[in-house]
Parts: sequence; C-alpha cells; structure tokens
Amino acid sequence: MANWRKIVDIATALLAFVFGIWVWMEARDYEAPLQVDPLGPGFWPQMLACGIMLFSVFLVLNALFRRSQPQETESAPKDAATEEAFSPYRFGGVIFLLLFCILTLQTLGYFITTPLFILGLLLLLGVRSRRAIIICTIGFPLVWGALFQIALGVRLPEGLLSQLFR
Amino acid sequence: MVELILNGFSNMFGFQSILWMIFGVFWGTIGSSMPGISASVAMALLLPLTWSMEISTALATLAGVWAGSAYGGGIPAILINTPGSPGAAATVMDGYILHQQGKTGKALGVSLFCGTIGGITSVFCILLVVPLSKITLAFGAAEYFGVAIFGLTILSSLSGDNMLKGLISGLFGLLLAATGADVFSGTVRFSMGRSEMVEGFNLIPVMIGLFAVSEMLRQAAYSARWKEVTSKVFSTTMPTLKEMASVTRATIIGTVVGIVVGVMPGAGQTVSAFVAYSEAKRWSKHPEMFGKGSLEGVAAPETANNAVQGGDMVPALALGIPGSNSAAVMMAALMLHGLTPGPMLFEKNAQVVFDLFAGMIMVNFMMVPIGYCVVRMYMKIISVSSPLLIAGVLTLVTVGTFSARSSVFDVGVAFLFGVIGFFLNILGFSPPSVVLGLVLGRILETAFRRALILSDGSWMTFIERPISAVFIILSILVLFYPFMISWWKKRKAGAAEAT
Repeated sequence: MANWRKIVDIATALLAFVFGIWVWMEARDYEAPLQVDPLGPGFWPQMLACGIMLFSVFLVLNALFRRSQPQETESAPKDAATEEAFSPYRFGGVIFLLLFCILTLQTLGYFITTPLFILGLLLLLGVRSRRAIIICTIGFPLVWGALFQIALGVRLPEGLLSQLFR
Repeated sequence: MVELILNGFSNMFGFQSILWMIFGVFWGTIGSSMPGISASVAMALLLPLTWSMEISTALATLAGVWAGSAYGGGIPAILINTPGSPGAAATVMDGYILHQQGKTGKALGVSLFCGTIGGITSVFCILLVVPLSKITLAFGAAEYFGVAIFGLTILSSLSGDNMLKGLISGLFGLLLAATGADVFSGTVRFSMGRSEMVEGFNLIPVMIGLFAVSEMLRQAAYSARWKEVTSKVFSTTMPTLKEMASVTRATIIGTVVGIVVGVMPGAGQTVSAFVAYSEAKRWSKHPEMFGKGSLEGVAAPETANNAVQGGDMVPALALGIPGSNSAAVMMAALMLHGLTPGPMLFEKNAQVVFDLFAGMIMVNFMMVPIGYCVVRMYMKIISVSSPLLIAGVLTLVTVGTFSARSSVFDVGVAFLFGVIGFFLNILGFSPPSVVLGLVLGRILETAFRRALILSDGSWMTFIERPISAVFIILSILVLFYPFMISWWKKRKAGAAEAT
C-alpha cells in the first residue's frame, strides 16, 4: 500500500513536471508589444510553470524519502459495510453520457438531449422503477428548463425544436 | 443622524415596502441557490421592476435580493456540494461534510444565523461611509498585490495533509486565471485555437465542475456509498445555543474580514469567504476539525459572505465606485431614479441613504424565517435516492453552467473539470486550492504588472508602499509560522529528553 502510494505520487509529480514544461514552452512565444510593460504576457505563466516544476521535484523527493506512516503499512481490516467498490463500468458510462450531452446539446436542443441523458444515467445507475424513470426523465428537464427559461430569462438551446419555439 | 435613522425605519415599515422586501429576500435565496445565477444576476433581473417603485422601496428590495443571495448560495453548497454562487465555494469544505455526517440542520442553521449577524453588523458600515472610504482610496495596485499574496497564504489551510500538493493545486488555479486575453497587451494566452477561450476560463463552470460534477462522478462510481447515503437520516435539528456560542469567534472573524474585504473594490465575496475560513482556522481552538465537519468552517465564510454587503456599499455610496457587480446594480437603481451615487448623495439625499440602512437591517432579519422555509423545501427535495439526486444535480449543472454565458463550451468546461476534480481528490490534491488560485490569479497578476508599470519597473514599490509591505511581511510570517512552531516544539522536546 505504501509503495503503491509512492508510485502514484511520483507518477503524478512527473506529470505535473511535464505539464510545467509545456506551459513554459508555450508562454515563451508570448511577446510584449508594449514597451511600458517590463514583463510582457509570457512572464507570469512562465513563473507559475517554474513553481509547478519546482514543487513537482519536491513532491518526488518527498515520496522517495518519506517515512511510511503506520496506517500505510498495516493492512486495514476489511469491513463489508464500508468497503468502497469502484465501478469502472459506471464511471466510464457516466463519462460517455456527459460527452453525449455536450456534443448534442446544441444540435438536438435542451429538451431532447436532457431527457435522453437522464434516461441513460438512471438505467446505468440501476434504477428500474418505471415511475421514477418517467417522472425524472420528464420532470427534471421541465422544472429546470421552466425555472431558467421562463423565470430567469435564459434562452436554452432549441436545436431540433427551434421551429416549435418560434 | 438619529432622526434620519428613525425616519428610515418609519419609511420602510410601509405595507408595500415590506411585501417587496420579503419577495426580494425569497427571490434572492431561490435564485442564488441555482448554480450559475449569482447575486448580481438575480438583482439585475429585478431591476426593471423597481422602476415603478419609490426609490427607498426599490433599494430595499434589491438589498433583500442581495441578502437572500448571500445565504442562498450556501444551501446547495451544504446539501449537494455545489456552491450556488462563487462566494459559497469556501462553505463547501465543511458544510457538505457536516451534511454527510447527518448534521444538515446544524450546518444550515449556523449558515443562516451567522450570515444574518454578519449582514446586520456590516450594515452599520453605511454610518461610517466617509472615514471607511479613505481606506478605499488608499488601495492602489501594489496594495492589491499585497492583499492577494496574503490571500494565497490560505493555501496552507486548504491543503489538508499535503502542503506540496496544495501548493501545486493553487499554482494550477493561478495558471487557469492566466488563460485568455492578457489585460495589458491583448495577447490571447493558452486559447488552443478556440474563440471561446478569449475570455479565459470562467470561474462558475470550473468551480461547479470541481465541486459538484466531481462529487456526482464519485457517487456514481462508488456504489457502496449509495446505501450509506440513502439510509442516512438527515437531521433537521437546528444548532443549540451552546453550538452557536462555540462559533462566536469564527463569526466575529467573518464579520471583520467581510467588511474589510468588502470596502476594497474588486475583491468580492469569494475572497472574503476564503480569507475568513483561513483566519477562523488559524485562530480556532480546534483547527484540526476544519475540513472534517467543523461548524466554525461554515460560520466564518457564510458570515463573511453576508458581511461583504455593507463594506461593498462604502465605495459605491461615498465615491461612486461599485465594489462589486451587486453594488453596481444598486448604483444603477439609484441612477434610474435620478440620483447620483457619490459624495453629493449625502449632501442632497441623505434620507435615501438612511432608508437603505433601515431596509438592509430589516431584510437581514427577514432572511431568518424565509431562509428557514426555503431550507425545509430543499431538504425534502434532496432526500431522494442517490441515482435520482445524481441525475437531478447533473441536469441542474448543465443548465446552470450554460446560463452563465449561454455557452455549451462552459458546460463542457464544467464536465471536464468534474473529471479533473475526481482525479485530484483521489490523488490527494486540493480542488478548493485550485478555485482559490483562479479567484486570486487575475487580481494578483494585474496588480503585480500594473504596480511595476507605475513604478517604471522598480520591484521596490512593493516594499516602499507601507500597506503592501505590511501584507507581504504578514504573508511570510503566516507561511513560516507553522514550521517555526514545529521546530520550537521539537527543540523543547529534545531538551526535555536530554534532561
């Protein structure tokens, strides 16, 4: 467990370091057109990038030389009531649905995309009650849509229903 | 002055005024509890309605919306880990944990009562507008830089057990603030070729993503949690007098911080909430409880959030400088009725100012019963099962983030930062630090570069200007204080062992 944590910390720190290098390289190209501005638009991001790289190095050193805490080395007794069961299937499914929502929101419109999104989400999360599915699939988009569009004056994407709204 | 104050209360006790104030508080509380609808948006939506009202009623109504919004943003922060407004971002850290521990009523009650105390206390700033406005004038670019640097020391409070990861998170947040068009040169930075990135990352979708979407992802991915959440009984018990007494120190800190930060134009509710949280933790008898469900961790930011109102009105009324978008809407209401905010307002229309004073006190008192009713309504809504709550929240997030700029891109940003926030939490990084960096980043960079331009590139300007120097020295002391104390204790322990 302790080794696993160290490996994760080192990998994360290296990722942050590479990110810092990318930011620094990108910011190099931002020139200062104004002579009165002594630093230019690239200075600040470069400074932050250096900070990220520096702390990443400290993080690696901390992970390599940190003394393991007792709770990291002892294996904790497993308790069925509290054991976390990560479901990559559910996680991946939610990500897919979020992507679907972003890609279709403008094209299909809010009142088509959102019910499909909710339906997919509820089925993915194991909801089988027809009543709950129908109420939520129709109710949530209507309630939020009415609140934002009618009460707050926010124009939601119409998409395919644009002819209907005119 | 006493006569003006008494006349103010007398003017505000009309039937129509009271009805409008109640409506304003209710509207502000409900509106601000929707992610994407901030106080200024809720106020601006009502502004056309105030055209036909008497000026005092109009100002009191808008003040009601403002007061309601300050509290309303904290409700979803506590119930569903979703700050309803940027100012409630600091409330999430302990508020949501208290909710998960079943102490929902206590968290919401502390938020309501402490917010009311902060709001009422800060209103008295209006009586001190003239001397307080001198503070506003004393703040230039270097001073703002000093304050922002001091604000960054909060990162040590938000970092949890791993300071390095907290600092990296904060730097990442500062970097997010550096995206978009540069204020001085117009150079668009890190746009990745997208026109939507010309303005950079908007705070609302990033914040909603890091808090709300990441939490919903976590709940969806870990099924064992559902039984825990759905079988939990949410206690609606309000905090006891003893519990309210225990947060006195945090409330006082929140009030002072809120007023002082409010007086500085551009600092805003978010900065005051985070600074109040950090200071409350620093001075608390139980700092180890912060981040693990501390009532003080809710009291301080919520008090500061509300206390900003009074401070915000100081530059607006005295100098005609709006300290925030909400103060700008109040000024717009004044101008709609033919009055000009600024020094002459006290000379020619002093009664209007004192009517506003009375109105602001009354709406803060009204917030208690109205806020209580709204909370009861929300608690019924969130007692549904986890899958339904996840579906409801993600739909709300979609609409809320879209409404900020009518942009699907912002929805994408919220979802992207939801995934980033999910992994940040797993890897031990600090999403609140990212939000703090994003909030402070623009102030910090702009103030830093403007100060250097004004001083012809001399870095000594930050030391030569006394207010800036004081804040920078305080920041260094605050950062090194824990290490010094730790070293001193080890030395003492070593000496004791030796003897």
